[in-house]
Amino acid sequence: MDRRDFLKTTAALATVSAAGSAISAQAQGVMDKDSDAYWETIRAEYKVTDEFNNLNAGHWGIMSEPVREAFAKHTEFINAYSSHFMGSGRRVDPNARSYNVERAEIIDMLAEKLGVNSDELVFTRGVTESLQLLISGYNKLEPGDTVLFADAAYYSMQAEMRHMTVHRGAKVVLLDIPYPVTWENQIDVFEQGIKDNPGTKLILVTHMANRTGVIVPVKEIQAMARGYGVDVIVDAAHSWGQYDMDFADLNLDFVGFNLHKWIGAPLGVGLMYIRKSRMLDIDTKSSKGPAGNDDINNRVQTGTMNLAAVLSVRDALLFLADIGIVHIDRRFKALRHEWVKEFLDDDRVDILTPEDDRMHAGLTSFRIKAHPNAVELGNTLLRDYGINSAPIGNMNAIRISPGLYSSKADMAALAVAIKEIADKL
Amino acid sequence: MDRRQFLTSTAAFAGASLAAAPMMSFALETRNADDENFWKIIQHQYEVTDKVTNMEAGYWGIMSIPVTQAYIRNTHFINSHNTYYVRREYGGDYNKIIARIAKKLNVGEDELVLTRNATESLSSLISGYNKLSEGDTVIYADQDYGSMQAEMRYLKKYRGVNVVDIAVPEPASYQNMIDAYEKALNDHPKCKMILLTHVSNRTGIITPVKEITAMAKARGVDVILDAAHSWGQFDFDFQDLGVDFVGFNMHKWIGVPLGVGLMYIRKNRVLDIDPLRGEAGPENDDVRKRIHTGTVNFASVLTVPDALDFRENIGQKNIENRLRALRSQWVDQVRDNNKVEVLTPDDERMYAAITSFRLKGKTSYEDNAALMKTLHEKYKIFTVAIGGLANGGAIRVSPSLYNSRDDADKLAAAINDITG
Repeated sequence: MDRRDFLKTTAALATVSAAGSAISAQAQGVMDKDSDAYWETIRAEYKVTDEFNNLNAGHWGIMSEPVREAFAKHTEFINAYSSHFMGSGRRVDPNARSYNVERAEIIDMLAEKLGVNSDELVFTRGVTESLQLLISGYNKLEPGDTVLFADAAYYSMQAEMRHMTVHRGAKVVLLDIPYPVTWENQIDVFEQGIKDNPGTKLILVTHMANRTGVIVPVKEIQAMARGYGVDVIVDAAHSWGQYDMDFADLNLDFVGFNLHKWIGAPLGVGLMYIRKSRMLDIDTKSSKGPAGNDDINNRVQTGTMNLAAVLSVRDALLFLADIGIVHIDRRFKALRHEWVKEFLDDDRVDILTPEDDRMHAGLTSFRIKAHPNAVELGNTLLRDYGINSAPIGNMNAIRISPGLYSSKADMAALAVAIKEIADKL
Repeated sequence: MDRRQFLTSTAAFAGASLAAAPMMSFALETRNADDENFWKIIQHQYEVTDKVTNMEAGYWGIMSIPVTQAYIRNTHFINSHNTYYVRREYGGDYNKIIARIAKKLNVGEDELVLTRNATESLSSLISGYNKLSEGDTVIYADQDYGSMQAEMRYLKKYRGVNVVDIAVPEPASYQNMIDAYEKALNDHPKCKMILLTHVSNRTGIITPVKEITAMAKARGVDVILDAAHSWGQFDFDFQDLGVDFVGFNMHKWIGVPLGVGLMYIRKNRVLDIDPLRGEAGPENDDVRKRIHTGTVNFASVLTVPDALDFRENIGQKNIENRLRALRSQWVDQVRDNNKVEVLTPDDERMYAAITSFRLKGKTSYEDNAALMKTLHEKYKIFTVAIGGLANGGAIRVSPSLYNSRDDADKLAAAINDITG
């Protein structure tokens, strides 16, 4: 059975959302992509439960139906062909599908979107793996050198940085991000950190803070750090796909991405970027490959991973490209504004993400000042209002992250809930 | 709607693409591992390509249709219910899965953690093993898996130890394998840890793990066991092996979706493996803190019970007998061919499904890659060429439950045809 026949036998699976796709195809041509009517057609591409209002897209992204169906088909195809699909099938049939060929095609797509070269990218199983490899593999440190990171960094990456004391004999310094945070004071805090610690060799910067959604001026921080001869590792877990950015323009060297958050690929796929000229500064994984090699693939050792999930990255990219990142960017900002606007003049509620247009996308956190316990507040939102959010206990905050399946009415319902809860305190 | 209700209500939708699986209950009532009709019913539980005869199950296992359907439904459920399910209920469901596996392996629930594959389990065990001091020795063998050998070699840099590699004798026997490790331990009195592979990925040879582990332990040497290929391929009493640190795969011979493995650490040895950064301090003795994956494919994990159900319906002993029968079906027909060397001994303690062979004198990897190509192109049989053995390359043959005796006959005929 060839691929075409196989797909025919699995066609039944696709019928449910075929209708949705057709509407969308029509919408793509004629509708204003920033209109709510257009976004109703996109929302129709998602099958989410109506048991609750899901405003926690920041944990991981929900796949659109076309992507979920593609994933199911890839799973069935790979399952039927098994290791025959891993390259050798093509030795006897030049038209046979080959995982290695298709993976390379998808890497090419990603490289084109990011404006980098294909040999600067490799798949991982998530941003955590990418950053573990970058941080623990960074080999330019001598005992006594300093590494810096800020409290906005993801907790397990903070731990990875602290491990540098054991692994490399480095001094580890944690910086406090000021509150309220501004574009300039974020650059200043890292520059001051470097000045205060002249032995600094490396800093970890989180492009969008997972707890607050604050976007960090990574381009400026990278340029500033480079001026001091300091390297920067960037955690881009939440940024790419959530707002319109020119990655090449950021001019970064070492970056970890997720593809299962805002790109909408199946769970378990991430990406790692290393600038080609900096490849040797990251150790190969457990001495993989010949000594001195600069192959990015030797910087990762996943073992056999979920191949169907990797193939579905193509489908996820195509789905986003049909909409256009410009419109996604505007939509997320509009969804955020829909609830945040209600609290800009309400001093009972702190919005932890600045209004500065450069500093937020869809993900934003808040706190009700008089409410002492974020976990309790999260429970109230879920129990009394059916709103699924992410409580951030150590900041006494609630993280709100809408998805492309969210409506303005969902956001308005959140605003009503916050007001009612605040009124009762 | 809870998960059970969701799965029931969407079963028709998610499973629409695949032919309904034949009645398992019929098969179960009449099951008899010697009855070819029973195995035909099992074969029909798999949807495989008919472009080739796939005897390369060693890379990863093909899911049966019921497991594939369950996986698609679980993916749909997780996608729809997202963190609402994961934050409230996944932990409980995960614990139930661990409890079920623990019962099967006869170990404690607090001795197991799921990983993304054996590679992750063993990387964590090898690089996390913290009883090594500078100048100590660690030992691995030529039949161990390539990336685990690399992980062992990395200890030279990471822990300052001497890394010794030994060759398993060829032809291997139960006793000469034990002897080879005994000699290595005698030759290297500073040895503190050895890597053992339960079933070699290169030859399918089952290593006498119990005997070697007992011998090593008597000398104060720890054993890390690579069980990537053993559990599910043949029936064994895990507790009886006496091992303390083990990496398993669940997506090879257990038949779960790709990307699920398992790690075992004996409870009183957990502190000897470093926690993974971001999880806990060194005093923490929770086995789950020895792995740090970030967000995983939850649906794959939730499909583990479906794969276990499928296997339990057939019966582990029946599976082992069937796989051995498929192996013997082709090996018996080439054993008297003096141009063929079968690398996996006929000793019943030492083989299951996987068996490797080479044509006499054809020891280079290239020779075997060419033979693999011939088998594939001319005979439409899919196998894999392997290298890395001290005595040269070979062809690895791994039949599985979707193969028939005819498939094994076809391979034997091809080999005998090639050798004239």
